[in-house]
Amino acid sequence: MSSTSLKIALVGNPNIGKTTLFNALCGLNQKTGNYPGVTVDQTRGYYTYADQKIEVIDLPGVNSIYPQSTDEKVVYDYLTKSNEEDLPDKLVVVVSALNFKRNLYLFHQTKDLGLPVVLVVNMIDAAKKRGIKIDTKKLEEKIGCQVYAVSAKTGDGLDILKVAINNETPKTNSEIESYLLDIPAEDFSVYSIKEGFKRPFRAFLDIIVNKKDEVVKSLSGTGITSHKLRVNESILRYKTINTYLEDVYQEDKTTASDLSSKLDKWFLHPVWGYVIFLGIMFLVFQSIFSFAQYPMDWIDTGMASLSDWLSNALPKGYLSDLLSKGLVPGIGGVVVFVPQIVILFLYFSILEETGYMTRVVFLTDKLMQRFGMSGKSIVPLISGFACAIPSIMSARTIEHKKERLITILIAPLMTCSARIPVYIALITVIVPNTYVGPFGLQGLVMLGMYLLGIFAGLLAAMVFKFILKNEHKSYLILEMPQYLLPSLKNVGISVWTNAWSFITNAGKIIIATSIILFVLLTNGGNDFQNADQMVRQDHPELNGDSLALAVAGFEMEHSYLGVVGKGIEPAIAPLGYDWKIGIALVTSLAAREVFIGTMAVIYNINSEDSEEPETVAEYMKNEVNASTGEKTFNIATSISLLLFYAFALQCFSTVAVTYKETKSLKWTLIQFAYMGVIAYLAAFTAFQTLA
Amino acid sequence: MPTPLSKLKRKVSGKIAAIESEFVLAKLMELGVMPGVKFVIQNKAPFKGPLAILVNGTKLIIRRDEAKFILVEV
Repeated sequence: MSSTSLKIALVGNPNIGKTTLFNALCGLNQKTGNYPGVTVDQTRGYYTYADQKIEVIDLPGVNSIYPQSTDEKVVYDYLTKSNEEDLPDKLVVVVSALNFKRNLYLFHQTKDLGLPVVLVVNMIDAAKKRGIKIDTKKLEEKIGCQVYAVSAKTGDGLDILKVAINNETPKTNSEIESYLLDIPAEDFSVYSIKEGFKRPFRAFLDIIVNKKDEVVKSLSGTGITSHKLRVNESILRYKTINTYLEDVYQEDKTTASDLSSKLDKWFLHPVWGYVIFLGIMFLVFQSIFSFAQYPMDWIDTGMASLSDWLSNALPKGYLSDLLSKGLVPGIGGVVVFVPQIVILFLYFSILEETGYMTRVVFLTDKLMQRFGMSGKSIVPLISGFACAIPSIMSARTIEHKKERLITILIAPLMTCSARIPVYIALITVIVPNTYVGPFGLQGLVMLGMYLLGIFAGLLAAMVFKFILKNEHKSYLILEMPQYLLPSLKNVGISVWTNAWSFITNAGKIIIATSIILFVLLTNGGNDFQNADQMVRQDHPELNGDSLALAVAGFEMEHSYLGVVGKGIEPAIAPLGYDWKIGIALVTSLAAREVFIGTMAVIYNINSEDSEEPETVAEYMKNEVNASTGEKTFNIATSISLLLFYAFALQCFSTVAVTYKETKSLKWTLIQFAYMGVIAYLAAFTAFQTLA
Repeated sequence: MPTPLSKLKRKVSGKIAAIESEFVLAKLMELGVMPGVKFVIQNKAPFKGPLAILVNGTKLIIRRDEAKFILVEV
């Protein structure tokens, strides 16, 4: 087996099945950049073919090599690295047979970089059905490059492509001389060498991207600008494509069925388009709450029984308590909402795969502009319902700085899946399980929480729209892909990688916090160690069970964690929280879902010998405030908590991603602060009015 | 007589005559929207929202603000 691996990069336009090809090559052998710790700019995968190990970089889809959005900048920077060793061994340029002419434009640009290039014509199966014929042999002659027709979805042609990737690929010739306009070719190559560019096209790109108008002026001796040079290049490249297109590409219009246009009559209809969109959103959220309920109940009771079984089966002791009362309930708190995450990602990847998401961009652009964003913001915001991290990262496709920043700033207000367990626990405690007509009351309250998040987000966007100044005019020019049946493999891989990285990443945080919590809750200073003696002194009348309970309560209050909770009590008392909830607030600063784990750990410790396995919500329902004798989670406190969790940015990963994506400490802090202030004020107002 | 793309109704087809905005010129050119190319208006979003036009077999979303600068011959 060869030890040196071959590095290839996939380059191509958006929506051409590049990711399908990547999945077909690498399968599950890939690292996606959706979660903290693994946030990478490109998706990376591996496969082995004929004893050759191949590393595949899946670059974001772009329409041109010139960068406008952050996504495009990633591709530009990657392809124009000055260190030759960091460049891939070969580029695999993917074009879609359905969008042949326009995709060839990027191919011609990429080819001029002078790296070994293989051209892959994808979606050849769908093209055949639409009466499109592409002569790859002739195309090879015309462009001087190896061409392979494949269908990444069905796997047709992949074996031949893999052989070609393993074999030597000749370097391509740059045709840059044709695009120089008034600049003499010799002068340009002298300039390129003098400036230290290894390839002339790099010098050309550098002039255009950095708008070096002076250089263009002095080289050409005329008044042309770098912008003119760029526009001219586009025209000439399309001319080049037109010289051979008819020889290699035939479309039989009689067999072509224009299904996409027919569907768009409905999906983009001025009235029905919106009705369908709202219907789809309703279906998604309805599924989350109805279908997911069954597996969630199984997991919940299963984890409670496991914890119960462990505490009975293991020898009594500190470590077995840590396991059965710290770790298992903590992990259970996360695992329980895996079904919802799976359903959410399932729907989103299907919507993305079919090409429907860009239809939503079209439908909502005008509305989003009112809030200082663009139609492109809708995709990040909708995926914010799953998780703010992929959401903020997907804002990269928005070219306009202000629109992108606003989208990033409000994305964490969308109700992410980590809030679901907190909401569900609190709603189960205060809202009776009754029906209003055909709708469950608890479900309606949940829906209200989602609407609240959207409303708050749009309100915040309005404010930012007025505060932020406009540096450039914004525009929207975007391709709408043809409708395609989703590839089951792509959907499966997307759901699996997202759910798995959620479990492992959230799991790590939960396990760590559960252990730390448990240790801090079961240890303490002097008061903690002398708890038994002190309680006996203060309450000489107590004995037996009531004495044990009083001692346990005293211990918790004086444990290290109890001291912290007590310490912040003055700040949170106006919101209706006691020191136990304070502990949960502190621990869930890192991640919201930790709230449930913390509740589980805190309340499990007191329940020495519960006969029935109980869920966290049941513990919370039964909890009584020792000083007032009232239920801790009454309506006022619970609503105050719901609002706090709806608005506060309790997620370190989001903070980290915002910093990474905005590269601005200022905006990261502003985001954290504005959400915190809204959370505190909303919780304060709610508690003070209701209590 | 060239008219702005933004003024046309749905299903109208024609040829692009000129693009009068430096600002979006390069971006449009790269997507193959250039003088001489045929187009059809396929969809229009309500409330002066964007247009969807078919050019070179590709469907593009263009905001009305940008479509004002695309002059066409019907």
